Amino acid sequence: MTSGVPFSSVAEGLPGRALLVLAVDRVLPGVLLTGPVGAGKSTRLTAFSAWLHAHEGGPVRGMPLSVDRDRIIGGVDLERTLAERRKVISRGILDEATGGWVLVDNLHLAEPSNLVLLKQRIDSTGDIRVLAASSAEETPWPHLADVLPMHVGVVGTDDLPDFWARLVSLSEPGSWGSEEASRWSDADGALAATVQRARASLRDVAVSDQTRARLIDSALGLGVTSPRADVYALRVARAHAALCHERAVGDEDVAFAIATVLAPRGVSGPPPSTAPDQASRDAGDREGGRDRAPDQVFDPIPAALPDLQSLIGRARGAVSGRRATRRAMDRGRHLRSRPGRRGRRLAVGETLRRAAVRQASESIHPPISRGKLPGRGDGPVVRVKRADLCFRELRSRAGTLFLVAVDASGSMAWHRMQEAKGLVGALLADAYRRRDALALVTFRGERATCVLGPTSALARARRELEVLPTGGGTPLSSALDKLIELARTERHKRARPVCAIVLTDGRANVPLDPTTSGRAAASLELERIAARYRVHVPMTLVVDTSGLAAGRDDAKRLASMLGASFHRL
Amino acid sequence: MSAPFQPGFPFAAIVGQEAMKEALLLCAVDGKIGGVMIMGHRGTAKTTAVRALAELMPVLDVVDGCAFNCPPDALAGLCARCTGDDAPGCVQRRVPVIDLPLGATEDRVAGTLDLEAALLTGKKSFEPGLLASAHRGFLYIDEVNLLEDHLVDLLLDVAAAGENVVERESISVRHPARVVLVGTGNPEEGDLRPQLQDRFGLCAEIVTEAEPERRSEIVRRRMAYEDDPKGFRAQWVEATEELGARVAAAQSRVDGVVVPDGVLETASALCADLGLDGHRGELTIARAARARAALQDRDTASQDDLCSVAPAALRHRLRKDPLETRDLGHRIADALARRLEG
Repeated sequence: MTSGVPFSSVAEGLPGRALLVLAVDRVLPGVLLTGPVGAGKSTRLTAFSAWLHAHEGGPVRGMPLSVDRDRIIGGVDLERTLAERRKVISRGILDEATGGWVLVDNLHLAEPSNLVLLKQRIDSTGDIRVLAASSAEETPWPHLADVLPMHVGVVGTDDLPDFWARLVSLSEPGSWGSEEASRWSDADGALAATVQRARASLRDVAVSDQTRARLIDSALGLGVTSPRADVYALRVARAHAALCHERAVGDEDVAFAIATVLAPRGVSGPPPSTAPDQASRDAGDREGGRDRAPDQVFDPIPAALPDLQSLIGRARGAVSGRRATRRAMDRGRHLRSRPGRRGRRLAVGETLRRAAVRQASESIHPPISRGKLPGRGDGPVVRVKRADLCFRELRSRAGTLFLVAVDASGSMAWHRMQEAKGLVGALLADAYRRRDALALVTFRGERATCVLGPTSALARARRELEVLPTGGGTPLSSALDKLIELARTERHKRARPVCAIVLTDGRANVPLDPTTSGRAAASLELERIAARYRVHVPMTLVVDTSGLAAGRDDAKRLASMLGASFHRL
Repeated sequence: MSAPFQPGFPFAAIVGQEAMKEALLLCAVDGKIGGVMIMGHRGTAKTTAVRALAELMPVLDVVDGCAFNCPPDALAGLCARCTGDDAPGCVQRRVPVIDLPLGATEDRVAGTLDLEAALLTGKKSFEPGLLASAHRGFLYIDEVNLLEDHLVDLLLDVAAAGENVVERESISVRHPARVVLVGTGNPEEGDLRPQLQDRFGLCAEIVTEAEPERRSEIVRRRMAYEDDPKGFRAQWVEATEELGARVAAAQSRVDGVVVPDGVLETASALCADLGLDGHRGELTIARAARARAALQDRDTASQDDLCSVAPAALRHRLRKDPLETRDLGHRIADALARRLEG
């Protein structure tokens, strides 16, 4: 658990200060550190929790990714209950961490069904606080992230001079000289004293009406919708002031709160819906040359596209002839209990009944014998053998996941883009009725971006589409790469049937590999990726947006490369 | 699982969000309205409001130790245990507000075979689920739109029938489960299937508070509460008790409130104008209007009650263009205005 790194060695910089603020105001439920692998997120969190534990007590529990529900909330310990023949309740992580901290590393990979338990606990009793770390590139489950007041990016260790050198020497306490060890422990102690002093003066820090108004203005300006964020921001500003021995919340404290609480939640800040779009727009601007055309946003043609609709219908039918239901081992409605087949959920009643029936037919053991097992109390005994085990078959309804990739490069002429938007709009309307999900990838400029991860929130897909700008080159291989990634993730996560729809003129001219360039390199690379693509995305529809007039068949070639159905718009 | 009652932020101190508060209060008065769905962004006091609601309701008389919250005086609807000869004594309990976690299984919700008893004693017995704990109270589903469909189906069935029937895993049990469902959701994160949507009685939309003054007031109150929960609650105890008394009075009065034919006719005409199939819309309007009248200490529901509850009662039943981004409340208001003029 403890890495041995003294907290005082990592208490500098924005992340360090955020952790100190968290220590000062005990009402704040937690912090989220985001950043690339190896930026020292977990190092800081573990150092912080170890330091707090040493100076103030309170339990610290990690929540590993593989944890299951029983371990989180506790429950009947089946094994010990059976062995000791009395009810044995095991405590879960949440009980063990009461009054202390839960540490969640790789928050973006954690199961929402686990995180929701944590969130409910924070919401209801507030006697647990969370230290979380997450990759900067992926969005962690928003409901938990939202109740963590501060989101702090850990860009690297620039703010900590000699961080790695220190880390190496500090994490091996054996290598410390006694002088060095006592120096760090003094520093840790001084920090603890600072926090305690700040905590004592917390309530006396003045918050003027102007300060409050300024924070709320910033929140409104950033497009922060939640009043909860306002509350967090003010608390953070106040704790920061207390930490700096101030009597009133000042400019610096407000700036700190804006940076850690409000900016990460703002629509003009990093949220996924707008940021990648902006990035790709910038990329498009930088790119001079042949495809250079002013970025434009085209309105969709709302007209119905009957032949295309039917085509999509066919695509859907092909993927999901069995779409209405899907067997799953661990979720859904209980279908039946069946012997033999291994599943995740034991059907206890059925298992016991089979065991009893089998014992009745075997003369050696009477069906239910009131016997005495060695070292255990009296009671009826049913001997369960492996062959008796029954597992529950569950079934859940599954929609289709549509991966829609829209070519938004400069070669997509005005009319084409409108039609493409109209097509996706029609698809959306259909998907809404059928409860399908959709992911939207757009590609233009240098690379493809997933502007919307798999979601059934079609209102959002629509908005993304409305503001989709065009212009720049055609990074088709990057788009295929994204589709492969999405399809693979889906297979691991929910395993809905996947159907990809690629709207493009097929004229790839931006290769994925930055060391190469030009149309020839791009098409060579495309062939390589297409082979991989066919393995991962079995069902694809390529919609040619180039129009007949152009008289080219790049898109058709692409379709045959991908093993896809083909349609000309 | 059901933690002891924790006094929270008082309902009366919640700033704004009148539509949500009214919808919740109406359901507190008349559980038969069919629950509330609250749609809005995260961090807009949805959870706070639902938890605070329990405090406004009169405490329940409950058979001591009963896992089903059985009332000691009623004869119908008692679970097997409480109808036995030596029925235990009576205690008073807060109206339960039970959280339904997103990852919950059907077993956990409806109840299942008591594994421990089955394995230890070989006896077949029923282990009650969340629906039993929520009997006579609220079942709160945060992010109902993310809940698996079959669970939402199950919940709505039980809520409509007032009874939970379990026929699975070689057990056969039925027990009373009169629960008011309160679901919250963020429309940005996925829609609830339309078939499920219209089975909620009311649907309240949370508006994002953009008025700096009000947001400032929210922050002030929330911080005051967090810094000193007891002191803050003491300031609001009077308002809370007053509201609680209103709810209690309305509960006993609601069945006697008359809905005049004129109001019923307007309700049906409104539903017809909006092209709604079935009668759930009218029925909900009538019930909600009655509850509103009861809350305002009247014996007759008025057109005014109708106008006030119609958006919440109908919003989620309108045939929806999935790409329509505006709130549907205005369509109802327009239809209502036309109807009342004509």
